[in-house]
Amino acid sequence: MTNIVSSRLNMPAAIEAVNLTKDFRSGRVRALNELSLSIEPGEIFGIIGPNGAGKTTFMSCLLGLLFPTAGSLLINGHTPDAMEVHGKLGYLPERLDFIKWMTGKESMFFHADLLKIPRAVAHPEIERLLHLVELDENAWRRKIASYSRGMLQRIGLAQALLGNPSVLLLDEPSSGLDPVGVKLFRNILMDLKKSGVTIVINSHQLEQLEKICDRVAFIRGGKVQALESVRTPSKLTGELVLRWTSDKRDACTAKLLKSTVDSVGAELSGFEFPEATVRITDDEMSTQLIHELDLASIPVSQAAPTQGRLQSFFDEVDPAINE
Amino acid sequence: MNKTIMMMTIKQFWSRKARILIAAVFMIFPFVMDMMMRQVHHEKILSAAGSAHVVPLLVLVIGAGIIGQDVSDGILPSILSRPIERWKYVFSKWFAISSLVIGLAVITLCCHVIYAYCITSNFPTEIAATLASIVLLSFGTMSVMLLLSSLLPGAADLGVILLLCVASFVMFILEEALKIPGMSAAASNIFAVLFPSFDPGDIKSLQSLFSIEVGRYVSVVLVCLCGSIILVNQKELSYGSN
Repeated sequence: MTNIVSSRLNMPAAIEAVNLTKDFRSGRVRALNELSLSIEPGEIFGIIGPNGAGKTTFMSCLLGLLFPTAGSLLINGHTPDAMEVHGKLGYLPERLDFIKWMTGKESMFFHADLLKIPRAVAHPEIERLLHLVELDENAWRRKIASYSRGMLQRIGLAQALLGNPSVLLLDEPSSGLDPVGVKLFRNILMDLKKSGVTIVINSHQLEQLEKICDRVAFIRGGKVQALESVRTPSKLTGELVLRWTSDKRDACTAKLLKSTVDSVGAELSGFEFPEATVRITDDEMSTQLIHELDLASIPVSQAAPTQGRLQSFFDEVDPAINE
Repeated sequence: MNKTIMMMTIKQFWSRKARILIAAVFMIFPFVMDMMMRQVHHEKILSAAGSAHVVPLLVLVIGAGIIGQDVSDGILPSILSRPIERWKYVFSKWFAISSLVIGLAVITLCCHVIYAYCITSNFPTEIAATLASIVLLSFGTMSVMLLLSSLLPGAADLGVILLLCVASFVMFILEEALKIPGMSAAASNIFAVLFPSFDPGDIKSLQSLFSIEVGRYVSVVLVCLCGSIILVNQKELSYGSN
């Protein structure tokens, strides 16, 4: 957090939206309603929210494809339609509408040409990126029309990474990928973060976002309803369900349990033998709690997380989901 | 002008087998005309002008959905997210298709000249004028197509042009059959706007450049090009599902 604050003092935000408003149908539909947020350089920023919340509209505004009705939007200090921005911006769309008659490699060269990357540089770079996303070499010369969803996702990320973008916009990047692919993408994004690339991810896969994002914004009704710093272990947003065998009925008192839970900084949110629900921050706290319960002679027979931290956050800010 | 967009546009045509087939059929048109002229009129010297008649047909086949198809296929957002100005995209598309049509029409003209020489032992007349007409018609008709394609999704531009052609024919027939005055003139004007051109033979001096025909051609082409650029500049796209 200190780094973020200090970097904020020295350099402008990578993406800065102030009172961003976007109306459709002559103002009858307001997709973005004075949305304000600031994304730091080198940050992995997640955007979550229900369907129709304005996430895609926001991403389209970032790409310069939609023009804001009011407010301002700056990427590295420029408006989204500036050519300086387009030259340093990579994006992976949700709908993978590539030019289907091109082969995978032709498509990469097409984008490299649009980015004005010289052929001599583009050739090794394209091969490096296609290897990086682990797209089967046999597929490089196949028409994109024959690609599976997972292959499209891989070539989509490869073309988004062309030209060493400083800002990467990804919409549902792990959709259609197998678990190996999901892990690969996660590792690629973590490496990009280390090299200072600002990454914005729009996704419904909260577990994935939780693993890679620094911060997550919950958008609803075209507004940022809440911001969650995933890397700051300050909130008890995860939940752990503990169970005991019946022989622990007498030993497992509410008082003892509460004091043990409190001792590790967790919070007892419900208890009715043989089950207790505890609010925790992360896996480390869970391990510590289980260890402490062992020491207090009330070892659990079962401990299972009910939902991830982001899921809890999502439920908290959008109770309508649970209704 | 953007070379990458131009090359992509030309390759896009070569990837569409049905369009290639239809274009090839249209390119045979001048030869069929020659054969008919020889059969009916026993003409010894043929005209090359027939080669220019394939230009509007080629434009309709090759240029249909020049921008609208990119919008409908969803590929425009990925192109415009790259550092390319929208006006360059529009202009490159227009120039690429016009050039492709000119190329194909010139091939037709060359084959036509050889064919006419083979069957009559005489070169056809109006070769230079036909060549000029091909260029004028290609750029002119393509600019109209471009404007309609900027307005309409998919290949709806082709539908609108065909509809207007049918309406014009009906107007011709109405004047001929029912003697309704002004119908032919109105239909001619529709054709003149849809397929703008002028007779290059009329340009004999600098002053003749200021004729109504030349003025109409230049204004139609300019209005269509500027209109297309304005429309594409204002076009809002979203890469997500609507």
